[in-house]
Amino acid sequence: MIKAILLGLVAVFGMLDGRWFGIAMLDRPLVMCTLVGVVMGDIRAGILIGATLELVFLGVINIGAATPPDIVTSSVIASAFAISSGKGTEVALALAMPIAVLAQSLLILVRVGNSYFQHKAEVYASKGESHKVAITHIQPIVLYAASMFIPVFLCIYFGEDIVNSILKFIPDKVIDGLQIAAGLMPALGFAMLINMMISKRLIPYFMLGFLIAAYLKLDLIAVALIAICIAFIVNQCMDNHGDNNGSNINENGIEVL
Amino acid sequence: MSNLLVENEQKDVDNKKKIDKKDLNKVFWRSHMIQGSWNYEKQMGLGYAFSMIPVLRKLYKDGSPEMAEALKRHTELVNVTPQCATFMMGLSASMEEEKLNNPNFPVETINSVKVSLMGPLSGIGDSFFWGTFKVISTGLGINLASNGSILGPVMLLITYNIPSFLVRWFGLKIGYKTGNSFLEKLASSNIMDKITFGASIVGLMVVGAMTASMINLKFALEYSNSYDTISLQSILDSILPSALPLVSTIFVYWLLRKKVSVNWIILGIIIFGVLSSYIGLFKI
Repeated sequence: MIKAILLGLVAVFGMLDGRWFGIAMLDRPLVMCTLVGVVMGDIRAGILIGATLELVFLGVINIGAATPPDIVTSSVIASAFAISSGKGTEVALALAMPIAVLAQSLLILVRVGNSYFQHKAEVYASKGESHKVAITHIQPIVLYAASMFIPVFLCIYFGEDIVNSILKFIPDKVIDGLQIAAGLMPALGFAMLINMMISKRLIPYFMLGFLIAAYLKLDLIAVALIAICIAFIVNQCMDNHGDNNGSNINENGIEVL
Repeated sequence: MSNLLVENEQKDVDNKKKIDKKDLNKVFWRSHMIQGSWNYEKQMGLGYAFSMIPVLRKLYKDGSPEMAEALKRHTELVNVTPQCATFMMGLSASMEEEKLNNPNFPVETINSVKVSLMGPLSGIGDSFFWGTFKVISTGLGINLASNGSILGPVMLLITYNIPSFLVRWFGLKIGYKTGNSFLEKLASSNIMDKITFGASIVGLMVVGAMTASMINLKFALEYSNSYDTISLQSILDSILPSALPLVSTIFVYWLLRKKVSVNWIILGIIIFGVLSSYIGLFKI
């Protein structure tokens, strides 16, 4: 009971990140699962599961007007079940995506419902009552909090035994298979990022990053730093290219803007 | 003409710069909550007004028609990368102030500037925060977390939030002080394009590196005779290490381009995993 309440609060905290804390990445699986690990008494397991789910959800990001799958609810529930069943990452992985998609519909509902507050605020605005406008902006957080807390609480409180007894019947081969799937799942996150960022002239840079890491075994910090240098060099080259066509450099060699 | 100028200057001395540092600080903290009432109709509109209220209160009296006009202006639709919103707020603040000082100031420009900025600001903001900062900071975080270290999540939070804080803070100040001229200067010198292009380069190179190092998939096939064991994977590794992760990423990307839904892809990956566990073709 207490565990279910605490996990519900973890989910509410994750939701607040996007609403009130200005997207500080507190809602990412890596942080959420760590907190779940704290509640469940196994931080290490929480972090490990978080790292895996983080890779899976890498491409799930909150851009523009689209409502993304609910990674907070799903990270909390999936990692809680994974830790309590003792089966770890594979179980979390199998549970996470379906939960994220189901919980997404709740978020959409909240965002439709929020129009009510928008209208209310507009009425106050037309009277010039800034305090009431401000309060109206705060109120929807109750809806958001409910949309996180209630599903997490219900799932943990009623679902734990059911899920655990189902998990006992899953054969080892399937668990192994889920492990293979877990290893492959980051490909989806990367593909989603590529899909978001790529254009024809950027393909070589993706390959370059891949080749550096594959052949030279450099770690990410090294690749990131090299990449920053390359970004500067490429931009300089493009500048020089421009000079040949017509000089926009003054006599001191300083580019005239 | 010169009389008018003198008159305006006189007015400037009377009431220009009503907004002080404190007000801007309030806007800064409030701007974190811009998504608090996100709705499909006006999106971050109400949040924008909420963030602007400290400034508006300084300029207009509560309950006055001017306040009503201003509140209506700022509850209009806004959607922008949240970290970049403060730049728009700084700009709006300086324009509201100017409107107060200069009765001839065309009020519509306050919102038309907002609208014209949302696109380009989000363009840069999204490619930086989602495409570059987030990719790098998650990469570093996962790297540490895969050993179960608490430094993983800590690293993620620190590396992401430093640029996030800086952009919010200085965006607001620059927006308020230099106003639109800053952005015009940026646009005329292509710096925006360069920055976005550079950010994409860094982001994609890191994604490439992560593709090589963070996906686990190997051939399980082995051929043994009495002398030796040859595994398919070791042959592959000697040609192109991490070839399978590369191929699978490109394949998933191709599926995404074909508009296959993410949920189907996930289901496909899970089925693929279970099947290959039974057949014994792949391992991690």
